[in-house]
Amino acid sequence: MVNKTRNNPSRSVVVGPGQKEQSADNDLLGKAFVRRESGRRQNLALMERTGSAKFSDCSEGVPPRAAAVSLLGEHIGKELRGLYAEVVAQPVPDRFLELLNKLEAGAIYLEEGTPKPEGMD
Amino acid sequence: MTKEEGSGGTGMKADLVSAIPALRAFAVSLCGNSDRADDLVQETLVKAWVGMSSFTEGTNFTAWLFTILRNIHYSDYRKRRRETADPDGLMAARMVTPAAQPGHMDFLDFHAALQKLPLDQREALILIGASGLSYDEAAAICGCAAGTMKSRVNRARNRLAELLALDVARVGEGDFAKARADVD
Repeated sequence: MVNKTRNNPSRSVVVGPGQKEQSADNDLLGKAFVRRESGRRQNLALMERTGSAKFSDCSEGVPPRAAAVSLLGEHIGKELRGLYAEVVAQPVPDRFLELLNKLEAGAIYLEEGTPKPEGMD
Repeated sequence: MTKEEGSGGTGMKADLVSAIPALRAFAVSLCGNSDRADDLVQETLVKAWVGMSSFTEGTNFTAWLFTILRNIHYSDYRKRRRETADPDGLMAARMVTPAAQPGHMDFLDFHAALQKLPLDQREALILIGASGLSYDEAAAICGCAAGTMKSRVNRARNRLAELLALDVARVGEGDFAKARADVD
């Protein structure tokens, strides 16, 4: 049952947050958001787990909501690290390498009196 | 971290290149918008290049860059709030909320939930829970005490758990049960 539920095709239609307004040339990070949809599958799996937790924990007098929140706590840590790691794993976009090359070559003229970035002391 | 060549040196360039993935990840988590995130990273790289001499040798280079990025984000954030006359961040909140899809299971996306947290809680959670920085390093970046950082992380976790649990409860009562029936 679990596996069937995970294959539910309703989740193959993916419109992540902010996707609509993202341009095509912005797809690297956009794809990261889309891939976060895999997180939704984990949510689903988690719901399956919290569902079973409710029944078992009720008999032990643990409030079902507390059990669910505890499981969600574990889930949050995983999601958070996953979200971060996904972007970290992406190749460095050329625009940054070009920028650094220009800075190195002195091709970007930095105005005199450019304020020192805040908080750098 | 190598700085033999001073501002503009090859060593510094290499250090910046290797820090870019972490900077992008921090920026995306912070602002929830990938265009904006890369603009933030770009500004950070320029400011870091110019201000290299203020980096203290032997301290965490990534943490130093995060501080710069965060300061740029905060000053832009304040500017934008003034410009859009959106003092409660309502518009921003709507922008990251996925459209409801009637008839479908409508799970709250983790990323959307993360963006619903207040900025100070969100950054605390990212710095501690994802970037691998210590409480002391994260506190230095945010200009607060380590204890404050801990309580922000706790509040952020609780709030996220609430947001996600609400979703579980709501879906569990309706669509989820239906979906299970469909596949059984």
